[in-house]
Amino acid sequence: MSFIEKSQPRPSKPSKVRLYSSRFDPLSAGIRYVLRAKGIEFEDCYINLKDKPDWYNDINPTGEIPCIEYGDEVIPESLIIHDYLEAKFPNVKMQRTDSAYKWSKDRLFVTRFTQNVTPKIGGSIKNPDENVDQLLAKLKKVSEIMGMRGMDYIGGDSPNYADYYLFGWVEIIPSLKAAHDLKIDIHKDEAYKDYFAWVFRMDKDKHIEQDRVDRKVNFKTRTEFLKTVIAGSPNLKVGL
Amino acid sequence: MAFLGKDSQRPPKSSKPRLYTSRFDPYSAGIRFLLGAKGIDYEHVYLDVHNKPDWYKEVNPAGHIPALETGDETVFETFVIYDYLEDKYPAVRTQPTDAYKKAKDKIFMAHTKEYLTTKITSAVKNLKDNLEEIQRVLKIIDGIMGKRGTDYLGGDKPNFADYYLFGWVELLPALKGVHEFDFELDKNEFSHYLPWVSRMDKNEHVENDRKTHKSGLKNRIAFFKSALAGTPNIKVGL
Repeated sequence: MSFIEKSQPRPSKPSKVRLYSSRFDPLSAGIRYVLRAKGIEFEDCYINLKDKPDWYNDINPTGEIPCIEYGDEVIPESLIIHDYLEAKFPNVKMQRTDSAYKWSKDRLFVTRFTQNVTPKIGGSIKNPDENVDQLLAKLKKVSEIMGMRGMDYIGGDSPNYADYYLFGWVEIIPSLKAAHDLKIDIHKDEAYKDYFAWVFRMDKDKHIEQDRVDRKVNFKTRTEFLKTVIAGSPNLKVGL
Repeated sequence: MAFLGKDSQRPPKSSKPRLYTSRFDPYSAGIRFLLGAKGIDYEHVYLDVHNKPDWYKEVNPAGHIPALETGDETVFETFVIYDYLEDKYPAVRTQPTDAYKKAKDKIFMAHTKEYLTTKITSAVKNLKDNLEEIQRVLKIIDGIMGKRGTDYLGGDKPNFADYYLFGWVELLPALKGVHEFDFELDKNEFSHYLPWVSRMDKNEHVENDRKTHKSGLKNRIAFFKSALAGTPNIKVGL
């Protein structure tokens, strides 16, 4: 992976999939796990959102990450990226094909999670007092849904894009707890049983474990990074 | 036609797809055009969104329309419904089959949602203050249409992106009437967008929808006027 400095010229068109991302960004995380699970070779280019190179807006006019560049094709927007990768690289399936309805249930889980839970995760980093209680309430709901579905993963017997998407977000939570030194202890609470069982499985996923090793992004470095964010000067290179 | 409000009973499940909608809802409009284009046989029920029945949370926990219910299967969230329908009813294609072209259309819809539909929603109450921003985004859309160089975003005929966009922009002429505020987009500046609007206005599924729901311009203006006055008349013109 590489940190793209502001002064660097635009890299030449990639022959493999290039992911413009940020080291600790949760949406990028979900995409990376899917890229790995699908066996897609990719380059990881970290864009500093606070100090973007001028040419980045030529690639993605909204200036956001994550964004995929593959030859002449540029795709922003996390879920659209997931769908593009699924269509373009069909060998390893990361989305259900058994029924339109089951596919839509996974997509609705992700969509509703994005609407209801992710703002509370971001909010808990900035302002835990106002957000953590609501975040915990929403995690109970997530646990309930997982319990109702009654499978090891959202994808069934093995993780699919929805599992990786959610995990890219929830893996932040232990770090935000440590960074803010929050006194929360819900691991033994029955209401979160199915959620933690799923987290425990995902934590051991080989693609997630490999990603930690390759990028040195893990509980420790994520916690350190969040501390620098809370202090007002985010250090994207912690632990490197 | 059933208008389902607080005192209503949940309709029994049916194997025929049922769309929970309301006559003038821009989120539902694109889906209805698409259902027509795909030749899907379905029924619709009007949910009284100002007076929602308690049972509706069982249909859609998020509480909004549109929602599509087929037997035990309920799908909601507009973008999810589009994808669900494309997968379930593949005979008539309304999305590109090429991965990149499909992504471009989805990006178009995502940006339309973020930058345009929010402004149109605000314009319902206040057209004047939102007009500049709406025009700015329509100018970008005009540029995209010009670059594609085809009659529709979908090429020779409308696709899901065309129907989605039109479901929203057909509100604009109505809002002119509601606020009695005349503005015209410049024919030269919007030389791709305006002809596209004319084509979509004449689209058979759009015309059919207006006939079915009696949701033409006159009734749409009357409805939004009544909504702004605080007494939304969901049965206007019927």
